[in-house]
Amino acid sequence: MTSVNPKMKVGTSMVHNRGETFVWHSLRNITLAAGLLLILFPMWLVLINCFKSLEEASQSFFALPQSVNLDNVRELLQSQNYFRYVGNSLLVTCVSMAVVAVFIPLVSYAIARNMHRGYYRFLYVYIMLGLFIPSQIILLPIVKQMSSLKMLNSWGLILLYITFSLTRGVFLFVNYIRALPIEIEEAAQIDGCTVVQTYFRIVLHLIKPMISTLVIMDVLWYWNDFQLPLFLLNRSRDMWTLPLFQYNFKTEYSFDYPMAFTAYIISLLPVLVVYCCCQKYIISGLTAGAVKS
Amino acid sequence: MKKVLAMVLALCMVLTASMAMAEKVEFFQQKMEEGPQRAYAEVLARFHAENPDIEIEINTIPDAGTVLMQRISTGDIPPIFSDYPTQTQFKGKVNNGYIECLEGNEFLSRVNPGMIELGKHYDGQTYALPLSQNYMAIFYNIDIFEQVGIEGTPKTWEELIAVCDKLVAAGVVPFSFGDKDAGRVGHCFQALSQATYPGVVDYVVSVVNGEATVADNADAFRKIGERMLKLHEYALPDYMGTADTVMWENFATGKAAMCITGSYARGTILISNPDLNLGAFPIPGDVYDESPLLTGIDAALCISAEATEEQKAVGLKFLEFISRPENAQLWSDIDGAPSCLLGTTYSDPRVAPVIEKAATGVVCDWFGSKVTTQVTTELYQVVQGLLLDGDLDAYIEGLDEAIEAAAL
Amino acid sequence: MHKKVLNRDRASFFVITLPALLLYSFFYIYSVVLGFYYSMTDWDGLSRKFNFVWLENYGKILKNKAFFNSVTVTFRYAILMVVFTIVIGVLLAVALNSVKRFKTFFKSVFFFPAMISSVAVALIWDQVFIRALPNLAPLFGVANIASPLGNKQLALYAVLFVNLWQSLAMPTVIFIAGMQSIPDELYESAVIDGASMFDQFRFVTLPYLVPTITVNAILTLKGGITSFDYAKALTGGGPARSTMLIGIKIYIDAFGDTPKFSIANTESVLLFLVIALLSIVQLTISSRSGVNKA
Repeated sequence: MTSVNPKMKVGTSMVHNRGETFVWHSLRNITLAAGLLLILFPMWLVLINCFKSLEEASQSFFALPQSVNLDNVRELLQSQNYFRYVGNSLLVTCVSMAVVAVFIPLVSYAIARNMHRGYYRFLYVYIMLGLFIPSQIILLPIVKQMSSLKMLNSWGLILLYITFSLTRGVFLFVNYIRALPIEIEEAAQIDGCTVVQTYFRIVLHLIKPMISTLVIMDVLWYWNDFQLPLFLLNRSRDMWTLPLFQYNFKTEYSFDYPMAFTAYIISLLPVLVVYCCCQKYIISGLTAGAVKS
Repeated sequence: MKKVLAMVLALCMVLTASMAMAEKVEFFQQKMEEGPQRAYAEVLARFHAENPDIEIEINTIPDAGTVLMQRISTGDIPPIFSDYPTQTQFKGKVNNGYIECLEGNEFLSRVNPGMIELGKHYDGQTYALPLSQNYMAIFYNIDIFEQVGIEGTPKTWEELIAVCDKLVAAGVVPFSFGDKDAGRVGHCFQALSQATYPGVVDYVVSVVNGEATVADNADAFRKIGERMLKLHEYALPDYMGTADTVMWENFATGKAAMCITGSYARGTILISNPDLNLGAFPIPGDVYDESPLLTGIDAALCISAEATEEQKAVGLKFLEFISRPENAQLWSDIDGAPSCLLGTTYSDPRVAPVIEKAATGVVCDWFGSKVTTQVTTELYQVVQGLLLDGDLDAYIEGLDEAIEAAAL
Repeated sequence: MHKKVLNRDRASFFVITLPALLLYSFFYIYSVVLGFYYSMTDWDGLSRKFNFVWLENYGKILKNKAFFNSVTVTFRYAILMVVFTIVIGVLLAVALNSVKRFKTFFKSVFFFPAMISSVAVALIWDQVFIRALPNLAPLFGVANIASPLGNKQLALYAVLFVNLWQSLAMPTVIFIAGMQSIPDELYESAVIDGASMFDQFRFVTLPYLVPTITVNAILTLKGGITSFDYAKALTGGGPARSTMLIGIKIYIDAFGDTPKFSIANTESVLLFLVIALLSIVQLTISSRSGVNKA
């Protein structure tokens, strides 16, 4: 029905209508401006209010702070184990990511290049099942299992992230690798390369864009996840990751909202720094992989 | 010389050994509010000073009730934890043998016998040490009442309405409500319904058991609904979008004269405005002597039946410690709720109307002591719906449907 | 020799997949199977003993009004979410793609929400609804703007809005990527033929985006149906059940004060069936239409 034929529709004038371009540009600019406002305004409110005392905030919620008052930040950093939580989040995110970035493309490579064999076809479908399963169904059994394995800690969490990353990762990579030409790999193998050598010398370079996509998507997930850490890391505050620390403020400082805002801002800080430095790579990294999927 | 050296060595060994032995014992504490967190921390500091070889670590986590339930069902029960012994959910935990029986411990005799009675399990035994009491009341701004010229506190529904009218005439908004969370609506409903119709919980139980329907007794429930609506006529605007903290803040800063809430909010209200002249009186029904005060056990401590013997011993030691009058007093002063322990005094005379009422024994417990949480949650949703649309017929119908839906 | 190499390679491939197979079976599939199993028991999550009751729970749930209320709410939510994600996502992608100046700036701002955790997003918007809206009222010349979260009709849309605020970024990036793969010649010849901006969009951009739209639609639909965190943090399912998404209902049934774990699992299994069915339908439909480049 919607087959592509640009010649099908023939306009009335050959020259591009200036009025139309103008309307289109203004519409576009209004849309973008509105979006910008919608995204930045709440962040702006949070930011300015974290420099205010509770009194000042309730008197003038929208005004700029009278002075850059860092009392809230200081109090938070003193009273709470902020750096510990950052450390925990870093540990979980980095270790999971390192394993996933190596492990998933390799597994996908094995599957993609052996799809004609029954075992690999089964494995693919088996892992793809996860696409349909709502997370709620496994929550309690998995926590029960981790508890009996005495793995209710950061390492248990890392193991689960690695496992749960399989479905999306394999889904993205298998299709991507299958679209790559197989001839170079065959040539390498004739030259005596083993599977692993072929992978690291040849395939790895071809799938780099996809790896960056996977890394970004999964890092965002690990870093921001709340549910699994809540259920796995609840035995002591020392094990908390940043999202638990954030959520904590919903009740603990329910009144002192400038304080809560400060907590949000300082827990966003690490992500913010990374994003500001690498936003170009992050967005282009995501785009690179997304085209093929 | 050698002897001394040997003794020093031996002492060192004993010390290091005992330090290695001193494993942290977890105390899972369910209240996230600042008051109780500080109260437990202070008492624990004293405890550690007296028992330097024991280390108890307080663990407070968001969504504590959910996390505790998950930990119990996965077999990872905290050795010491706080819970609510009058609720059916707690009784479920006891029935399944997860909680250590506390009978035979000397410290139970330090507890107000009425509270022990209230907290007993079906088998007549005590499984949790009651620490503090809670109550639902109308908190009021004494200064505003005095300015408007209201003397004493209203004891019946008519008097309450007269007070509201007087406040309105003086240009004061009588009530601050925060009905965004169904749970807060529910607490108000629980208190008002029992004050209005003292037999309401038993009737709900009979509906749950399929022996009756709310529709059979529509007049009584309609009256409760009408009163919920009536009070909201006197409220600050946008009460449906108002969260509990904002409700307390509005009341604390004098935007409204009264606020129906639980004793748990007292500390938070005072943090928001430490100068507030805060009083409280029971929620009135038709006749003062017949309308009960909603009160229950707020914080209670218990020990896991699956903890190791050492952990249990530490737990009992801590329970004994916190139940000593001087420590209980300290705890209650910081937390802000009346203590369940004998030998403590509740210092605030402005809450006298509530304490007097409690002393008459005309009291009732939370719905949760007789029906499951599913039923109460479903009921809350219906009452919240009533506040939204004011449709009393739909509300009566909804109550029956809700109880049926909860029976899953 | 060649045969030997082949055997060696086969072995390496197998060894590579082994950890994945084991981890996945042990930590994922095992739990799923257990979940299915519990859905056929009467285990409340607390008791030490329970009975196998076959399909009794399924019968109970299919007669339960509260469950169907949640199903209705969830479907309304998920469908709106798909529609808004596709429409706004495509429009944003077109707009962002055609901007010449500040392109990087715009892109990074629009992608920013994806960086924040859903918990933080929900908590921030909760505060904005409570604190900022009443303060904005004078601007519009009204006495007060009520928080939409307290309104039975609006609460679901408010939650959806916050959800979209964060989740739009990813699909938009995918759309932008999809548009970059459209050959420029098509636009050039369209311009020569005098096609208007809208015609170019309608006859060139859109058909090429169909596969991307499908991917986004499937992912968003699943996200919408299982959505949980935003409503949990913003409304907890209220007011008066108006935002009681199935995800929240399952959570409350499984982990609430009086847990009914087997019931929660039955609800999850039903949810699984629905998602699987919808995905299959969606895949079948989309494989029949659009430009299939793969």
